[in-house]
Amino acid sequence: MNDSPKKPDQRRGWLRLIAFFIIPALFIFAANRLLLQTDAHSYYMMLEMTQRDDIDMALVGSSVVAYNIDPEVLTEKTGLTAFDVSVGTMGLPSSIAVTRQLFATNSPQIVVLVLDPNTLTSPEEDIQAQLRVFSFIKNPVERLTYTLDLMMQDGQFLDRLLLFKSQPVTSPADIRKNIEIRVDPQGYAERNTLDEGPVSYHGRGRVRVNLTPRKGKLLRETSIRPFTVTRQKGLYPYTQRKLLAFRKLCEENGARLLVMFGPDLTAHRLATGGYADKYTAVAAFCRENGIDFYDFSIARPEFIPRMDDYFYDLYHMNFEGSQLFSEKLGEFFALYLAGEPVDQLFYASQQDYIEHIDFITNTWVTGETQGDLLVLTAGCNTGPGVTPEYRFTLVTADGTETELRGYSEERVFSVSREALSCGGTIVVYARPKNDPGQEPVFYEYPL
Amino acid sequence: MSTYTLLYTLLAAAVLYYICPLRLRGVFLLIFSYVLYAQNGKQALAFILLTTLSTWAGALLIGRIGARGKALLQARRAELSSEEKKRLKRRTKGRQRVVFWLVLLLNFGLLAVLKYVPTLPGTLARSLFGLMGRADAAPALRLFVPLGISFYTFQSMGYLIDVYNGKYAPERNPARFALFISFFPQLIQGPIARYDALGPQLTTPHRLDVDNIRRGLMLMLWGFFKKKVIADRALPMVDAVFGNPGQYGGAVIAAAVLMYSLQQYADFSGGIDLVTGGAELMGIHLAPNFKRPYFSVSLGDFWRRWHISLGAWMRDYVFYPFALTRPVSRLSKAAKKRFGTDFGRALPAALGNILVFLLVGVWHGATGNYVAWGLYNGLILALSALLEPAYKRFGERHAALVKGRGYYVFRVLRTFLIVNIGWYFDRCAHLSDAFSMLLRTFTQPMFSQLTDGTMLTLGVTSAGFAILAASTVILFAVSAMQERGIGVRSYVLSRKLPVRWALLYAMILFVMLFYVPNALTGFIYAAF
Repeated sequence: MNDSPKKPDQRRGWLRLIAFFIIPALFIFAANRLLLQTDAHSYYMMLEMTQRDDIDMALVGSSVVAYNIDPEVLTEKTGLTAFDVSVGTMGLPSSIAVTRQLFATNSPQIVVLVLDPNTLTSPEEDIQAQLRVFSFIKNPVERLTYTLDLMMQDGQFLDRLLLFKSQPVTSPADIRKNIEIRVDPQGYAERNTLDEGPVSYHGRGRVRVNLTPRKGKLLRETSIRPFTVTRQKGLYPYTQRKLLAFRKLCEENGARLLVMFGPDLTAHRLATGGYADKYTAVAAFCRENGIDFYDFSIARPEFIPRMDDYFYDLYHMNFEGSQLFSEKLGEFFALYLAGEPVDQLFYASQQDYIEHIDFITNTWVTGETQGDLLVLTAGCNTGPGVTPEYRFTLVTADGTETELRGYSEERVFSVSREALSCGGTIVVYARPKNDPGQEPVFYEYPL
Repeated sequence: MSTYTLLYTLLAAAVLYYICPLRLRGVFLLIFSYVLYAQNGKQALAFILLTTLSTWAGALLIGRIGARGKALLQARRAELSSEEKKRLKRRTKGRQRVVFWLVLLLNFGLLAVLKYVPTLPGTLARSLFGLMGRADAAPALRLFVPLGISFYTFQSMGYLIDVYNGKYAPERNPARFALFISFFPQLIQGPIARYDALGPQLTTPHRLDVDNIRRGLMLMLWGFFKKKVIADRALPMVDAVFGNPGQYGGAVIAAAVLMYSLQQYADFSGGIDLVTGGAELMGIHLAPNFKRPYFSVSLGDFWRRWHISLGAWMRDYVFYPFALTRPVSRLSKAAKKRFGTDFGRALPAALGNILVFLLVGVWHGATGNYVAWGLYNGLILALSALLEPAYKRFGERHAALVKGRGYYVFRVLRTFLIVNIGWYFDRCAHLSDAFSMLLRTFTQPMFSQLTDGTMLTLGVTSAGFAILAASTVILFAVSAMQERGIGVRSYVLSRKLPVRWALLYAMILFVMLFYVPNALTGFIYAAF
């Protein structure tokens, strides 16, 4: 872009330059409201939260709060009005911003920060959380500092400024919905209830999942195998700063803070390198900084039974699971708030918990062709005290199952490709050697 | 450094620059540049300091030796014979030469080791442990490669050569020189500046000027458009095809090479526009690094328009010094006698071009594909130099044809084709890939892959292709205007306010709607 100098009048030039930028600024402002898809759950939750002033117990966190904790059950058990302050994918920065909104109209006795290990595996918070939270932050200064904080953390400056780009409206109906929500939020909520369907909003920030459990299918199809999700051991300095900021926010507003983790899908916990480390790091950090911390993923089975059967994906439980867990959580809070001892309800540490896992959660197999042979290598997730043994069978298209090898500790099994020429599926079964009576888990490897 | 980080750093620097008191603005730039550079690692800071101090001290010493020699000559002018004067001058030059070569070798040596043998400590450690029979226990050591080391080394060595050649006096103030080397906008991918052009601008405090601001912002918008709308959108297709060339037919490969042409130009020139615009916000004018290279009529013309500052560096500090050496002159004379005047005259330029492009190839990386790419360009330029008299004769015989529009278009397309064949070597992962891709392009085109949906599996959607097409039209239109001598920024700024604002808003809206989000991509040339 070549140029030749032509000096403008400075004062007029500056005024015009400033005026010039007002229009794009207004466009961005409007687009972030009208051209951005509004997340229904966040909208209903925030609307309800800001309209109430009776919340005694706030459970703050990502979708694991909305899906896995029923505030009504907690209210029944504790006598405190509980509320799920939950926004999908919300990490610590957005949790702080939303909790500020909570304190604007409510004075809860206790704030329960429910951490999701997924939000601790990197210091950055998913942009989806900002999409859901941004427009509900009323104070412009808070909105600016919140956005700048996120921008500085992950460097996604423009994407976080032009939010509408990340999740734009897809139809005129979406724009109409946005306008209705801005103009008449209460009326919109009344006209569009969300209490039906497989995933529905039920008030108090609660989402109900009316799906049947499919644990076996989930474990087989999701390929929950060992992988590492984190770049750094322990807690990121940014996470530590945010935890302390959250504590300070609660202190300033006279609320007691409790930090917790919810139950995990055992297979996911065992497979995910770094989760146990994050849990331990959070526990140590909270202990050092005088924050009450409880890890419900290491609750003793006498207190909370194994919840695996209720998970319908890696993080969320169905309605039955959430009811069971909420009841147990309510019992815990009844004891905790009364000052009764609760430590005996949990294993002493992550290590202690993992050592007590005496079953195999899931199995899998990988195949590699070596000449005429198909070399199959099986694996499974289990506790360190369990010795797995594997059995290989061939299931042909007509359903006939033929044993290729009986149970053995040997993970690798080779079979001639010729023997498999009929096609079908290889099924690997795994069971603990020391407890062969346990129902084996299996995995299907298509040929 | 991602595009966003660069963009916001430039804007923040400009704001802070003008907040600083006038006389401290140069100091601010130096501190800001070093703080920013330290983000790349503390070791990086040590390397840039070493280059800065060694070059500054070396140049100063060369200057002092020269001044002392001159003073001695002046003082003893009357008593010295002409032979003694010549000897004194030679002695002075000889001392200067020792310092010059020491500094040159230190810095280019450092660059060579860091860039080409970063695994050297690991190899040494393995050998050492191997002697003890424990090679497996050797630590996997690897040298740290500082950001922009090629660019600042070339810039500082250019300065040293200029001082050695007496082009200008050495800078006495180490802070001023340090700012020249570390000035952050040009540190990542150039342009490689000359001290006499940039140095004084950096230390002269600039007052806030609305014209600089609006022109700088316009250039930054243009650079952002090139980088984030075009280059980042084309990137997945280029990566997909060059990452797995065996999977695609020649037509898709050719499309990916064309896409790489677009991507590389938009990435590099977009980055340069961003930093040039950012520097303009502070009243600092960097040398242009691109001049519409795809409008070139010959390969030589192309290299005078692409990465201009590197080409000029090579021309001034490698090509001419080499072409004017005594052995080359002797070779030229011998060639004149044996093969004729035209050939003998063109030979130094031909050899110089081969050398320069071999070096440029190695500068990109010490791998077979880059060396082949350099040789390919050098050999074509050498051939062009040798055939120049024939071209001239052709031009004289067919003057009407040569001056016609058709011949111009033919030359532009021919150059574009030659350049694109070179890109096969530049972008491929292995040299053998380049040859197999070239072969496939001509022998196995598989045109059906262009329409059977294969193109949509390469990371660019059909909407993405449409955006790329529209963006390329905009890029071409602006380039064509510039090629006709129209300064586009001046053209826009000279329109009536409603037209001006409408044009700028249209561009801003286009960029806002179509830039590629969620991509923290860096710049291709930052890797060199």
